[in-house]
Amino acid sequence: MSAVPAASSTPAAASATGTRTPSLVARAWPVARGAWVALAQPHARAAHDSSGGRWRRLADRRASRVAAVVALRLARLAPDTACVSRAHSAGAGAAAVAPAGWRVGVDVTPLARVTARHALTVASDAELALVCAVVGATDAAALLWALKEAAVKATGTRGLGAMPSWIIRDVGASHADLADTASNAFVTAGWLIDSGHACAWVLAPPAAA
Amino acid sequence: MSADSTVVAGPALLEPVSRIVAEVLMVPRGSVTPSSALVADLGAESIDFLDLVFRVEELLGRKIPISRWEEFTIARFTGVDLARAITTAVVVEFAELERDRPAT
Repeated sequence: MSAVPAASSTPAAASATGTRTPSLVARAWPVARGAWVALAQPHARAAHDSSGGRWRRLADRRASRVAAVVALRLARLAPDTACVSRAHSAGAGAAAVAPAGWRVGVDVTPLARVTARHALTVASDAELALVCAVVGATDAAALLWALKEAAVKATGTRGLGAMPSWIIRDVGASHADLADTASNAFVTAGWLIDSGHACAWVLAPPAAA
Repeated sequence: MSADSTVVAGPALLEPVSRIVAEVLMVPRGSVTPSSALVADLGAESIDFLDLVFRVEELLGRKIPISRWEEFTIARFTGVDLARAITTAVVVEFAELERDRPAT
């Protein structure tokens, strides 16, 4: 990729400076000093997949790799000196990068993919209502899922079983606070809803670990 | 919740579970084999595993707490690359365990 988006202090502004490659649209924004998040979307032709989903999934996975390259370049980090988290889902790939030693987790989830039934398997009614109050019922389940998944990935736990213990305590216009009842850990996640996807990220420096 | 009685009474769940895997992951049925790794080969995401458990519930006609899937996988695959370890056969084994679990 010969060009990367200009640095921007907010996701919304970064979206406006996204760069278009032959197959992907990428956008990125700084989260903290040396820490960036990038989102890439396969070209629209990936949606017209006649291979039973396989081609689309490969395109999504490639999008997450492109997002990682974009974020690493903007953060001026080499892959072997960075913490990188990647995620991909139908129609999008995301990456979060930070210097070595940081806790990093990112998730991207299509808004239409997550139902209230999914959300209430890993969260309480109160948590879903909290998210719903900020983004509305249509987007709440996907954002809830993305927030919990990002927190789980950043703290190195794995599996669906870790998601219920991460409780969403507060949701703001671009951030959310989560606390883990299993480990007493606490993280602040950033989030963005864009192009039909909920994207959430957790980037915590070593001092906050 | 009503179960498909022919499925519940049958000795093996390979075919119906393979069909579920194909439908949930939106891949051709022919690409789903017992050794297919759901993540590494078929592109499954975390939320897909919830849908698999939901569909196994419908297949068996009984509620399955998601914690049972977690317990099942943790017991077998601690320290293992889950992306490679969880195959169609693993889901079949889980479904068979749930099918044979005494009603409480």
